[in-house]
Amino acid sequence: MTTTQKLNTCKEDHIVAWLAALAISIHILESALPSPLPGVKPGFANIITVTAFLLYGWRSAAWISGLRVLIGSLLIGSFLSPTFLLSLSGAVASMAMLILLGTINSPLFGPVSYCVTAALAHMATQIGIAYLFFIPHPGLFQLMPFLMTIALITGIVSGYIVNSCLKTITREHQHEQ
Amino acid sequence: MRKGDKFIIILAIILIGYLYNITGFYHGIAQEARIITPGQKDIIIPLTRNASFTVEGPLGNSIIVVENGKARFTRSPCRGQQCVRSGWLERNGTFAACLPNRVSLFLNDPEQTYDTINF
Repeated sequence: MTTTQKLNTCKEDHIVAWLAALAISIHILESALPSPLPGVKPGFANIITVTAFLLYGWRSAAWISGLRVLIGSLLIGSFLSPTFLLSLSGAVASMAMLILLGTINSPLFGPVSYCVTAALAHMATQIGIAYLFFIPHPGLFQLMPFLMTIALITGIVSGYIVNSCLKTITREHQHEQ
Repeated sequence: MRKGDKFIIILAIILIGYLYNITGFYHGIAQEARIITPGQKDIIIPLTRNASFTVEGPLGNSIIVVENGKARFTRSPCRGQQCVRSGWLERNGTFAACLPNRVSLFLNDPEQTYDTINF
């Protein structure tokens, strides 16, 4: 005999679950892509986080980001490995950056700002953590300008994607109403 | 793109430019060079004075020139001329080597950091 227990879920839970699933898919797809340098990937899963942040606030975004790091690492098989720690610290740092920009809440800053600052914070923190725990050699910082350049470019690209996502979503909303 | 976005991007470019600048200097400008030849003691030459050195190897004479704090191979008896094409060396830890003539030129790194790390 089985008993089913009904979980009370609210609308936000569903949104978080759907978006987290999407972010995890992107995360895993990206990790399957060949990369010119280990650890360099476009970070497009952050598109979902930033979109959620701008639409539903930081709590949802933090949930999506956290779930992506946790479940993504479990599925890839890097849970509790160095990669996981780097991924987690990067996610926390970029979340902190998003919250910082969110509290400024100026109309001057669009999705590109959010994505670029998040990407740069993500990369800088990862290099810092890698230096502290894994490669305590100052030569690591030689890579920093190059990696930060890549972060800037991918940040701008994801910013544009977030922008078009938001446009599509608001248009759909208007259609529904 | 909004105004603030452009501002953030410009700020980021400045930051990254600054990073390129400081990490470029991390290895530092070398003060002296070391010429390594087989069967002989290493020759340590200061980079502060312009000079030219002729080093004998199994194939013949390699010529290393020091000019304005930089050093390079200018002539080598080898076929590939890889050493000459390595060009001017200026920073610590850089090197040019002529394998056929067994002469190599190292710019000393006083910290003696690792060549490579992998794990």
